[in-house]
Amino acid sequence: MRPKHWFYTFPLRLRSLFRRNQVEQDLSEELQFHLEQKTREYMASGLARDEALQKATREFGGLELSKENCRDTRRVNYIQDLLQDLGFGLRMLRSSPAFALVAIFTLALGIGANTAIFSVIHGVLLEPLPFPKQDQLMTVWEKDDEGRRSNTSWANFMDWNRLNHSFDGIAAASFWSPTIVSPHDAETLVGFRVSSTFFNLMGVKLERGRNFLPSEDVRGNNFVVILSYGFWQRTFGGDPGILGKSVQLGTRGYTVVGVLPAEFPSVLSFDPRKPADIYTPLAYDETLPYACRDCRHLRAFGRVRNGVSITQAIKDTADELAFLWNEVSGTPQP
Amino acid sequence: MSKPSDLVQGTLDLLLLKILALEPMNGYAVSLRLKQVSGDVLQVSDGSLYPALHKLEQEGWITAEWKPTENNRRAKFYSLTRLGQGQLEKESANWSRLSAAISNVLKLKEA
Repeated sequence: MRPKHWFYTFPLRLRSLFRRNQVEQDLSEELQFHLEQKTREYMASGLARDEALQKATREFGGLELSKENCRDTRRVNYIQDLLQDLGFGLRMLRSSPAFALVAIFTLALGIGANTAIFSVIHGVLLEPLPFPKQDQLMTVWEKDDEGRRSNTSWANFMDWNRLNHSFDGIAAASFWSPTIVSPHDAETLVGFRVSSTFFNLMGVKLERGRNFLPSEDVRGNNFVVILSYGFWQRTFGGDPGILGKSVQLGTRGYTVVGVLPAEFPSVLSFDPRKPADIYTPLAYDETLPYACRDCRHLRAFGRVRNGVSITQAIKDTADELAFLWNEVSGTPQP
Repeated sequence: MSKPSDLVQGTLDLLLLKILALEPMNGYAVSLRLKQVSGDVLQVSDGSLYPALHKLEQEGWITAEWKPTENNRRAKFYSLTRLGQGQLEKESANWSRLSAAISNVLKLKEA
């Protein structure tokens, strides 16, 4: 719209919006004047007043229609019509409250259900995990004979660590379910044994305390635990002096060395409803029978090195495994 | 009163603008004047007169003022704006071009 044009039309638009009654009255008066002039004309040509008026009205052909067309030219119509319709709708609702209630209830239900579903999807799928550079994190699986993913074993894990170049670091985790013993009851917890490098790999900054030390990742020296935030709040009431306290798990006391932050989700938990509460160093005992190469009960996690693409990492790992297999096949267990 | 023969909305606008260019007047006077100067050939139906005038007003080509008439009645008087003057010239030129073209076609001799 050209600016000059606006100079004339803007006041008109405003007037149409805000002084509607006046505008309507003007319209009526204008058309009425026309009718009167016409009537006068016909009276001058000899007709009686009534007849003249009738003739003039007839010839106008639809006074109301003409008014409606005039209104259409005003172009603020859409807003006015919308408001009118809204008002009408509201009046209708008010006159039948039962229907209104049903409608409102149905809408609320629909909106509520939609919101709930979206929130879940948002939380589970769309919201990224709170780990730094999380596209570099990967779970490393082995492929078993049928091509399915399987856990890995200690020997394999150690060799991966030794051989690989595409990962910054690999950590291993195994399932652990200690029983916490307190004077009144015993509770079985969901936990994991993790390599000392695990939390560093994840890029997690502990809420309190410190990570496991490599020296603690050795059997015999490993009676330390890190608690999850939820567990700390729940069982110890968020005790600020928790560090250094001893927790009775099974027959031994474990010292608490750290607490995880609240946002740390339980990536490892096998049951999403029961997040992991407690972590202890992996402290693998190679003398035990389950240290065999085929005893696959560990899950490995790796962070891909900066600059290495995922596909590259996958390929490298596969190559390394093949190399490994060649290396060990035929030799007896160490 | 029948609609002016073959007049499309654009042409009606042109006529109304021209009449108002002569002098400011109210709607009734415009239709009367149009009838007079065209020897009763061009007659605007009352029903379409006022929507047309209002549209011209909304476009900014004419502007309106309430003034008293001879018999002391209030009436809405329209007058051409500067913008309307430009529009009038433009549409007149279009009309000339159009009618010249039609005349040329009609002048063609049958083979």
